[in-house]
Amino acid sequence: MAEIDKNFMSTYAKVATHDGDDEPIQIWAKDTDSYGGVGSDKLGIWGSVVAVDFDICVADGACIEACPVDVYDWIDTPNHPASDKKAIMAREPDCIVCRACEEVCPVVAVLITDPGDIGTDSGTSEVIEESEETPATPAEAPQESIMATDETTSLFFHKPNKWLGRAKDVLAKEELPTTGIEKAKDMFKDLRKQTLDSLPRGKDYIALVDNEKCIGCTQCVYFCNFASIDMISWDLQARTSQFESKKALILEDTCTGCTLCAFACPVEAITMESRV
Amino acid sequence: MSRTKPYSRTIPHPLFERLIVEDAMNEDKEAWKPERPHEYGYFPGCVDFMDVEVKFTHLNKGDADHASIAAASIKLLNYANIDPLILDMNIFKCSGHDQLWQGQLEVFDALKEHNMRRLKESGIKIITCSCAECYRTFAVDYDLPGTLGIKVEHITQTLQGRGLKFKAPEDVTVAYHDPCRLGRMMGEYEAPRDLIQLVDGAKMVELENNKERALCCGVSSMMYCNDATKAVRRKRLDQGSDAGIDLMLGGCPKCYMHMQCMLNEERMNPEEGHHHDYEMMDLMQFLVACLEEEN
Repeated sequence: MAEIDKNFMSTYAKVATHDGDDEPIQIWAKDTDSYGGVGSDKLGIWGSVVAVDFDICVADGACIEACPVDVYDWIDTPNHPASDKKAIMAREPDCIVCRACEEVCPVVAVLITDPGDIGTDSGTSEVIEESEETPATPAEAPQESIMATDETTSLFFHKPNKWLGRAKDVLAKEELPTTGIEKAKDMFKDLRKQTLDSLPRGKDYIALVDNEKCIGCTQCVYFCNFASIDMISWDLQARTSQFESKKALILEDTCTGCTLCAFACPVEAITMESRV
Repeated sequence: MSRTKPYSRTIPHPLFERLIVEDAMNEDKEAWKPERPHEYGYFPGCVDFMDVEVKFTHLNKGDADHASIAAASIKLLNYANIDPLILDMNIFKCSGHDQLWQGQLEVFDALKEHNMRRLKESGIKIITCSCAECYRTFAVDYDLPGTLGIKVEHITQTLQGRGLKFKAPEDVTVAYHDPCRLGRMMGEYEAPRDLIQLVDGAKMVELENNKERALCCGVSSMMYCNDATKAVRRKRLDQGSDAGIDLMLGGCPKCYMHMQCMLNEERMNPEEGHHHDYEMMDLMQFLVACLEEEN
């Protein structure tokens, strides 16, 4: 399966730009021949911080739904074989690097790069903070980078359920009435927008759990895109006995301040606090 | 909608249930009339809300798709020459099963009042549900046969005995997992099994605990999911492995949701050493998958 090239910023060339809502969107292609314009069947990679390989994108809309800050819009690409529309990052500067879209894309067409990493030697040699403590000898350094890539690639590979695939094939043959997905989506969007409007977010903020309110339901653990939440056991004292209870703990290094956990928390135990 | 939730706060509602509560409390007094009269009404339940929720969580690493249960049900009803009125969530609201069982009675009453009014307006004679929980709620808690004279059926009962034919694309060993609401509560064990028998090429085996002694998925009315409930589910999944099945079929979207979630979680954490080499599916999805060869 084709995936977006992780090093496209060094292997691809900038070939054109497209108007975004505020800033222009960079379009990348292997060479000038592999980009033929919006109406063609060669579209290349669009965007820099939020990069989508339009030649892979199948327009299922997962990224549009997942994005907590509404970065994406649809753009019509009538002559492309994979799909006749694509998810364009119209509001790319709004991206909070939560990587929710990267996570949900079924065809791995999305790659999010932290704005701070753009312009530097991208992706190939990520600096690991631990290496500051032990001066990296030439022998150790490549080993560490292998470990880092192992960690990122050892994602969960699912064997698709062929029976469900068959059912979906049969169902796709005729247009069946929908049963309320638009209403559900709108309600989720409204609630998410309220969360976003009411909370500060971004790199300068971190989620914080109030242990008094946390009921240990693990809902936030499932919502976090970075496995940035852990459940920690605490010994608690009740009036008559001692007991152990699990509470959520946000890991400081990997929290991106995307507010998805605060959105998910059923008891409003998570707040967003300034990192400084 | 507001982010302050005045209703019961002690139960960890998933997001979609919070929205169902919000929906219940938004009064909708507008009159509605279906375009033409129908004998059958099909109630899909809250499958779309579940779908949006699992997209946000990491539980959709597999390919869980609850809305396809509703689509499959409609397709099968059409295949059985039934033209149902779709009682979708734009007009109706959730049946309120989970809210009732969680003790949120005011929410349940609001949902019930709305749905009863809509059902009266719809003019249907029979309501069929693909969800065992909706089925029980309509039949017992709404008492539709007694109050509105509407017969309540589970979709397996509607499809049973209509001379349907299915052919599995390949030989497959399946087991039926009895949902608690359909089985122990409503006493319907045979209709789903009869439907599976209609599938040519599907061999049905019984799990160690079946029918009235069936094991539970462990997450009754979305109350809680923790190590204890997961242990219940794992025990059930182990029975599937023991029986050597390829597919476990359920009659309730919640069974599908919870079992599939567990299977996905196990595959995401292979170091824990729990693995079940089969899939969970709703019976409706399975029957639709076996429809293609027929047409």
